Amino acid sequence: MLMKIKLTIALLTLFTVVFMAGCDKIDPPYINESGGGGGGGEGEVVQKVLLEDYTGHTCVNCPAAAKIASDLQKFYGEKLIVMAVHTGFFADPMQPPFDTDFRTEVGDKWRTDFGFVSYPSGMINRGAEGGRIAGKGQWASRVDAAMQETAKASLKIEINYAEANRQLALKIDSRFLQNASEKYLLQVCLVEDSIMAPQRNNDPTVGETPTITEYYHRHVLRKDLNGVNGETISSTSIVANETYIHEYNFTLNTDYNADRCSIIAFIYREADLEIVQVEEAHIK
Amino acid sequence: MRKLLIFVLLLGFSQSYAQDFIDKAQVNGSFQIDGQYYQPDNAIGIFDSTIDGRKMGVNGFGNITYTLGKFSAGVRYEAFLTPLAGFDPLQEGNGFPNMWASYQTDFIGVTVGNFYEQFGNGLVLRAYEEWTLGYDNSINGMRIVLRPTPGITLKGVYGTQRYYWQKFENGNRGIVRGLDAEFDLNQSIKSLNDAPVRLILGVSGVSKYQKDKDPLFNLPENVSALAGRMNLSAGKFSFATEYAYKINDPSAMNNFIYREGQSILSSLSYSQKGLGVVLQLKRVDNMSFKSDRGIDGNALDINFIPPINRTHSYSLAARYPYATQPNGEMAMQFQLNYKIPKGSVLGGKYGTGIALNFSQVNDIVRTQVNDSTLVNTQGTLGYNSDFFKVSDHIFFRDFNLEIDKKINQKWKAVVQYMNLYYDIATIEGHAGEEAVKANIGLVDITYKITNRNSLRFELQGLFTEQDNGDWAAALLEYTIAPTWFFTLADQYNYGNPDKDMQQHYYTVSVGYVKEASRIALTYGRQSEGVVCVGGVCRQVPASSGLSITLSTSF
Repeated sequence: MLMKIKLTIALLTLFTVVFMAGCDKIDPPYINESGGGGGGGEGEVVQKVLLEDYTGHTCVNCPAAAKIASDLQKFYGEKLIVMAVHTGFFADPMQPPFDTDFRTEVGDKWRTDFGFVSYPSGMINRGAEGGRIAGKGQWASRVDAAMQETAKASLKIEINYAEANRQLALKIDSRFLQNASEKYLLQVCLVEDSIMAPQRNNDPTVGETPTITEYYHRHVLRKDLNGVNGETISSTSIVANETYIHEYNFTLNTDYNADRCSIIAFIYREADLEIVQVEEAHIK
Repeated sequence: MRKLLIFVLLLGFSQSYAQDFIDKAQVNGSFQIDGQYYQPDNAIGIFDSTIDGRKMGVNGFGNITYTLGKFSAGVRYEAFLTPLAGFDPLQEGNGFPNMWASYQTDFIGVTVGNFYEQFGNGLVLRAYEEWTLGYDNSINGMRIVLRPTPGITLKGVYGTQRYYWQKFENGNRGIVRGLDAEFDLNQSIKSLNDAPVRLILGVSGVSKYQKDKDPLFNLPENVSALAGRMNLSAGKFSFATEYAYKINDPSAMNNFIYREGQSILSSLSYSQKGLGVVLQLKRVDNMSFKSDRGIDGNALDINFIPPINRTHSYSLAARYPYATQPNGEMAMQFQLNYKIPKGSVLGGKYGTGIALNFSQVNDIVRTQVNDSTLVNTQGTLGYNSDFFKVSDHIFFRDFNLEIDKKINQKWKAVVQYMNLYYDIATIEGHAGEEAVKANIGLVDITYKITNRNSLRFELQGLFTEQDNGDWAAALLEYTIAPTWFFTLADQYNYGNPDKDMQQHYYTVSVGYVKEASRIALTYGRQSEGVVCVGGVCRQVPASSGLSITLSTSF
């Protein structure tokens, strides 16, 4: 009996010590000040990351998610590209003031294909590790992990915009750093930034609740320019350092503000849908 | 882990005990299959596009437990092909998520594999499974239970929690370790064995480890929570309380604030023949505790905040159930159960049961940590909160009175009235919507035709000017005991402000029960709503079609 009591006391002491030592009490500053932007010496291909924010104007938690995306973009600079995909129930046009319609055919297709149900949710380079769909609380660590990947390809977007007739001519160069036998696709999209329209909100630290009347919707996906699944980069095996050129011409919708529009192009692997490189270029 | 379990099983089998392995063993099991065939029903907003080709959903499980003396082992099979509407799409898949082996003696119990566990009320640790929610936060790891002397129980757990079908790898979620010690003074001290005053004390400590991979925040990788509890009973009175504390745990749930968490739950009760009175109080402040700080849904909870509200079973009374707010709430509940004695004027020949219940949940009071920082700003201490102050913001209030009366050998009845306040903006996230203020009344009458045949009739009304407006519901159930039951039911949303949504949600059901097996078929409509178990809730979308439930155990 005495032995057992001694054992009990010893175990309790051991666990108490472990617990006391196992606490990380954090002191200010709580936020890391140094940015994660920059990187990439001259001629070095920088790995960029796409954060797709699936959202809707009646989704009350979505402004908080958009703020996280914005904070991450401030931290990483141009290395992080954000695209807001308005789709699903929370994006449906409703009674004023929620009668705007930011939905797109391509966004709806992606939502069903990837199985988005709860909002806000997102994808980081559409990577499947740890689950393809990530809640807003997972974005930062997933983005950071994706930033650590070695670049496999580079993308260059050249835009020729004629303001008079709103004609856009795009030339997109894709270049892989190594030979590849897998099939890769190029997806090209048009996004419009900072569109003011009401947004539901329940986070007072982000804005007024329950509705932010003058809310700036950032990086809104407007349309795809080469099909909902993009198009194959090369019908044959990828050859390292060869430039694959894709060109597109279209007229910019007069409803869109050309000053705030940009083109997002990304390359993804057909086998696992993972994005290996992304680039963004402003129309003007 | 599976290979290890198979090895353990084979090792036992290959010994000279092979015959005992079969003859002296006991095998138990339980199975359930819930299936539904969906059909478009445009009137309630279900189109072909809603179904999206998934015409059928099936959720099923099977548990098998093998016991041989002090050794036991088990497996759990699950299939969600595809998950029923309203269940998380991450459920989709099939396989054996849980396997375990255990050895138990009076002194020690060891479990390896997947297990469920609870420390005290669960304020710092509760691993459990709830089929109706599609919830399972079981721990995959090791558990040791020691009983060194009578009245002392020590528990230790170490492992990772289940997250749907996702394997633990590369630190994709945290590791949970915990210790609980419980001292039953009356059992420990011989002279107090039969004392009228009984005292049980307990302490718990739980810690999680999750690597900080966040570029923006400087996050704690080891987060601990501690709790102390007491159960004291003397005669007809009993008092139970538990206090829990958690250090800084910034997470998606609390908007990445660095405030510590606290929770206290107390209950005082009095019980004698024909009378029971319970008063419960609870305060919760920043006590969400998950093994992945990035998750904000119903998954990977390490702890559990018990609700102190009545759980209603009648459909309209249960239409607006309360979901626990782990970021902050102050709650109280009073419950009185009284049986008016037989032979009295009000009690009649069989007595009359009265159940009076009142519960209210308010927000806690939060103030700014300094003049320039808004409450709950991420990357700060979040807020200050006076422990004893109650906010004016009411989340939930439920006053209900139920009377049940057996009138004679043939008739019995239940009558219930409920007055409800339900902050739908907070509980269901419908920002900007007015809180639901509802009156609900119901009668439930059973007529026993013969010893085997009975009819039960329910009539309910829910009256509110908010949300979807007024509802009426009726149900007629014919039972041929102990095998058959037939049910006709309808819920009618006649007060919906949208005329197109003033719909009937009818169902026709038939069920067959034989020994431990039950089969039920239901055809009809399911209205959109929320289902909660223990304050944990999931949304249920409207659906239409044929459903089947089959369960058995041995």
